[in-house]
Amino acid sequence: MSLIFKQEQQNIYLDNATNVEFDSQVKYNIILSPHLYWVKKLSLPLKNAKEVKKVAHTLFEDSLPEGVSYSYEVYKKQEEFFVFAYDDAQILALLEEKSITFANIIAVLFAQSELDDLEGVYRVNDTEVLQVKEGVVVLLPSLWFDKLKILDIAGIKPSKHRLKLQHFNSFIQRASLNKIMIALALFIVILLTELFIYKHQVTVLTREKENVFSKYHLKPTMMQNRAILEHYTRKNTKQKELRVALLSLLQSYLKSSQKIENIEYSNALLKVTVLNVSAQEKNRIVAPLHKKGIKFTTKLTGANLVVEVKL
Amino acid sequence: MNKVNPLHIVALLFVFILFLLFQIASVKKQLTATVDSLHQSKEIALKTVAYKEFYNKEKVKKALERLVRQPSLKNAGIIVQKDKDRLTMEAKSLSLATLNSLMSKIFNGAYTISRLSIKRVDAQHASLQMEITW
Repeated sequence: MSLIFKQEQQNIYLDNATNVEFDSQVKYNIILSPHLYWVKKLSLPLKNAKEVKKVAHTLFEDSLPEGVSYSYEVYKKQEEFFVFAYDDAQILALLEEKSITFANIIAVLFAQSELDDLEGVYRVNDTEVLQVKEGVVVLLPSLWFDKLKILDIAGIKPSKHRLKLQHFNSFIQRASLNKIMIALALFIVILLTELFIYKHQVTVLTREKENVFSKYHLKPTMMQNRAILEHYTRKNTKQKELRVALLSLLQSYLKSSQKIENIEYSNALLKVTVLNVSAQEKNRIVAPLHKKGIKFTTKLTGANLVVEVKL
Repeated sequence: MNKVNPLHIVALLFVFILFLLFQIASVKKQLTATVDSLHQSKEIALKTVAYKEFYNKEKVKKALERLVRQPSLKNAGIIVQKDKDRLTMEAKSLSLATLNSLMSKIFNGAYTISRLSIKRVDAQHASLQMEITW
């Protein structure tokens, strides 16, 4: 089973005096008071509203207050163009002041497009009235008129002539925003290129690493390869140390009475026995080991000196 | 009111830029790791290859065979025994000159001495027991 909810719609005439009890369940069509826009009714040798919109800013040149960024809208009625200039920020501020959220707005419309068929003078607030003069909806002081009608906008069906409020207009010009977007897009292109180059380099280096593995017949993991290298390094270091330690001892100066009786090496322990050594002569014999920085221990049993080097 | 707000597009572009910057930082890290790994692999490969070449089993075997066949050692009474992974040399009484010659060749070669025993017999002779592995 499905339920379709149709939200309630309501038309609001927006001016400074508008008093709205905002309801988030209601969708609103906002009809702008003429004091929120400038309008010109013109006959121009141009084909359509789109072309007129391109030159709309020139049509209002010197006639609008300065220091405001205006948006323009145009529509064609019969053979004439209605050209509008409005300040987005002013309208947005008023909507905010009236607590009307943007999400609840269906359309923002000009009083000109929605009320141009009014006949007579209509009160819109305590001080102002609306009247159509030569096809243009104008706002006039209510004091000028005696017989005033009450404006009822509830039954108005919104036209297609809607304006698009630009939130950003108040602080960033559209043109600047376009430039920013182009700059950001260019930056993205640069970053994408950089990313592509880095990824390509990673691929190339990974392939090169694979080539190294296959060229030198390395094991599949670095841990295995490190273990193999460690094995060879340890083996090489021990053999080098054995040779250095032994040659250092053989270089020792021995008296004619002193003899090397025994040289033993097994389980990484080098043991050299020298005969007829006194306690005073011991240091002279082990001096070459000291000189090479080799760690050793000595044991003098009687006149037999045993030098041990743990490799 | 359905028009896309350009500020949203700008925000989206910013988010995408942040995403790309994050991706680039990640790939850069990966690149650095790959470079390091490649250098390490090359270094390990070159060292291992050098060691393997230096301690090459077949080369060591052949060099030892050539060594013990030398005339000066052949007649010195050195008993050589060889099996799958080691070679042992044993001599009860070697002259000091022969011992010096043998040991200097062993020490200068790529031989892995796993056991060595030299004992003085008299003023000119010594006994030898040596085990070389590969």
